[in-house]
Amino acid sequence: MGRRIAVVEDEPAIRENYADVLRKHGYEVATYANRPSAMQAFRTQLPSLAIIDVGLGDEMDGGFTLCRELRSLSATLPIIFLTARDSDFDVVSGLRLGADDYLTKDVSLPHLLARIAALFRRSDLSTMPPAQEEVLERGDLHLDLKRFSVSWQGTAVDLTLTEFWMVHSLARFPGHVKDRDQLMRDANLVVDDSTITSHMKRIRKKFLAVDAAFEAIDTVYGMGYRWSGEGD
Amino acid sequence: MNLRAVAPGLRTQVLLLALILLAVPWVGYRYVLEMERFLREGQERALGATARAVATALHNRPGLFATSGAAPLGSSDSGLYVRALSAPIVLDGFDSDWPAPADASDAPIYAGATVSIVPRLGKRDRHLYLFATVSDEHVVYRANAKARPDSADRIEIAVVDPHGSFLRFVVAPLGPGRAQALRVVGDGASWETPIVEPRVEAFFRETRRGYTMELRMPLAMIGPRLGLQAASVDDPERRETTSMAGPTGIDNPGVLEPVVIPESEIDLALQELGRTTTRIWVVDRDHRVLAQTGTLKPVPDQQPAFQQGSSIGSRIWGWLEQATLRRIYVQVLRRPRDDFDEGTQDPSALIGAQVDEALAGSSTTRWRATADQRAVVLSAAHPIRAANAVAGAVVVEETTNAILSVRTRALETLFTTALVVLTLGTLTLFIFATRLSTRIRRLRDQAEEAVDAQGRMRGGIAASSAADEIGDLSRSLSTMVKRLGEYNDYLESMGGRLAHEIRTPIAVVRSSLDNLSLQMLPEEAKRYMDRAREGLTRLSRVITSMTEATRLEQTLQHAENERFDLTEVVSGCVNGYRLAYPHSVFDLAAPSEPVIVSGAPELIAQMLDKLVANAVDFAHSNTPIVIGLAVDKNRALLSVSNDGPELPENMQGHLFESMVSIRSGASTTEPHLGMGLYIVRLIARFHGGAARAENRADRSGVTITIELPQTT
Repeated sequence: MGRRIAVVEDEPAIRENYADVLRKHGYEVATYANRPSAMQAFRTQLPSLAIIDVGLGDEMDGGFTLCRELRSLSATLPIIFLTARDSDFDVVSGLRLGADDYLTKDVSLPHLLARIAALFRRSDLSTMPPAQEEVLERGDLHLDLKRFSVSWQGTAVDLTLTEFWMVHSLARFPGHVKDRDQLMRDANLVVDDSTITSHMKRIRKKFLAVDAAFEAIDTVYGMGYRWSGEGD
Repeated sequence: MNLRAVAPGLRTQVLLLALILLAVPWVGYRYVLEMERFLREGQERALGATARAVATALHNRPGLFATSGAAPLGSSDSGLYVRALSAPIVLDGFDSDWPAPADASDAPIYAGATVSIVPRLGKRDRHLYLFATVSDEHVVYRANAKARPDSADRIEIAVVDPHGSFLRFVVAPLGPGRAQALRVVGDGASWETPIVEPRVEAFFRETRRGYTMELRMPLAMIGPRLGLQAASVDDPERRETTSMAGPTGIDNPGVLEPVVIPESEIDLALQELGRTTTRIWVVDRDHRVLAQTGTLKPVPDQQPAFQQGSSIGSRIWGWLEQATLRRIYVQVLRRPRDDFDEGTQDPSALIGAQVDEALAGSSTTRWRATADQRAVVLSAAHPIRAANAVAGAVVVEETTNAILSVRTRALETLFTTALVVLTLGTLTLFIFATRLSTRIRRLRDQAEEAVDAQGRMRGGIAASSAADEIGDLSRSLSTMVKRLGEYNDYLESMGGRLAHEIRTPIAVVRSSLDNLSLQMLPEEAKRYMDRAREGLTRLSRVITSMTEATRLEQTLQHAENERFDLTEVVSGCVNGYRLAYPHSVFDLAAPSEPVIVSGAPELIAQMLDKLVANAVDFAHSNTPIVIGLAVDKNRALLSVSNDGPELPENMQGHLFESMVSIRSGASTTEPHLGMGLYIVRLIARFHGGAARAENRADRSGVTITIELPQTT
């Protein structure tokens, strides 16, 4: 089955550039310039993955609306926000609506492709029984590298792809300090320092929601972050 | 600001304006003075009219003056001179209560062989008084009450009474002290059968050279003529009258002196005028007082008790006024006094220029002060004519006390009223001005509050609902601030929006380049690709730093405070910097014990990042960057200091503002929008602290210090 990616973006140049590069990598691409046309198409046939801009034409938050509607059609469809809006508020809003990732338009195409590939892999594997496990265990932490799923003390922690890569980057070498550049590299991301800080905050919150005593991620001021799971 | 300290405030100005109210008492005072002048003129006229009226009543009544004028009682030849007595006389044989004689002719001596007499006559209260000083070597008393009246030393008086009868009295005492008078002639009496006359009282006192006798009898007993003599008996055995002396003969009516007692008609005429505080004199051509009535001093009648006020308020007011204002008034205002002293005055004669003028035929009024200056006396004189000649004069006198007391009362009322009006007026104005200036000041404070030191809109101005001009101003300001705020918001969001708008074309360029790089490109083209990418990266950084402050402000709104050890954060950061800036040297001077502050450690780290990046950029190479942490009175002092160029004098206060940079040129590849220290200040403020930049004391470099409140 061909992978069909829907790109909903009101800027024609970007839309076509993304479409081109995705097509070159073997995906089937459908492009939409606004929410009604995209939604109309989605009702007929769901894409395999959707890349949505937040601001769509006249609709300031058209992307959020679209995401909510799309999520109501399918709970598992991977959705990526790709937008110029980078405020914490927008990021949190987008992720709360059920998007799998929230990227700013600074992201380079290779990074975007890596994400798309990873998301497809995750959605593929979640539908079939695990053939072979590729797992990282650090005390209470359980990372399924194939499905990009995380659990803490047996409870699943719902991380976005970026967050998963960050946790993976930290947990791979417990006790080693990862600076922000390393984290960005590992998370296929180019952002500024404060965005990394926001990401780490959100990751901590998600773990704390599962375990109020969670403190495995250390901040090493001036340098970066460190995984300090027990036993190390 | 400075002007406000010097120039008087609205309240002061209004109070200065209130000084106009001071004109009220001044005008009132002028009015009272005018009134007083008017009253004085009125009094002068009234007094002149009184004088004229009295004079007119006495015009052409020569009888009044004729008798006394032809043979006045006590004409200088007869020596029987009846003077008016001003003081009451006590019958005690002493003459201390008699006025002293002016000269020898005033008290002539009538001498006989062995006896001489100095008689003095006076009139008071419808009585005739006699004080006789008699020289007599041997004082012989009557042997007993039955003895003949002429058997001892005696004073004899003869009168023709109003009915024309000839009466003769003898006072021949039985001893010193009170003595009886015996009528020896007339009305059935004779020398042999004298009758006691109780209306005549006498007092006898022995002296070294003889005796004195003081005597009183009603004027009603005295008719047109009067006689008087002293008789002496020297031998108590033989009891013969040896000597007699006196101004007149006494044996029959023919030798008596004619007398008119100036009681009668003038007095009656004057009394009918009945003025209480007016004194009226009538004098004859020789200045002798024919009649005098009234007194300048009012009869001390009962002062009405203080009015019991009908309401408590008026009573309290009265008490207040009594307790405070009256005391001041007594000090300041001259109240008329009735205890003035006119000085000694001869009651029997009125002299002075005014009387002279009146006797010369002209009527005058005159003001004079009493001897003790306590009162002013107004006198009006008018001639009395009889048969085309001036027969005498009327002098009417009155003090100005009545006017003075009216004036004083008017002034008191005026000042009290003025005081109340002034107080109330000033108070009202003061309250009004205070309210006005409070409202204006509140508006000013709101206006100042609305914009912070950086010119950012902080909040709006609450529009007042008052209908007046200040309310109007407030509404205008409110609208203005709102519009300015909207414009400010627009400007502030400009950076973010600009960044956002630029991001889309960047994405176009970036995705295009990415697409392009997937093509097979010649080597030459790759070089240009790389350059294009490098430019793009720098453009991204510019946008990132443009939005950094805005994003930080958003972050601060949601940041959560925690307690953390500042020492740990700082030393951790410094370790990081040693790795991040391998070419720089970092010296850390931090206390060993923890310094606990409340806040967000990652923000503190971000702040320190900015400070250190700044210091590294400015430091001379191979000089250490000194990072210090110290505690001073509950405040943590975090400082970053580097060798390097000094701060320009005029920039020290502005360094921490947005978009301010003192970097001289685009020497570095990193974009510098001057946001670094602005972010430092934002974070310091968020922690309740402050940031300041100073040149080092030895001018070798710059120190930036952050003060943070310490949590205990």
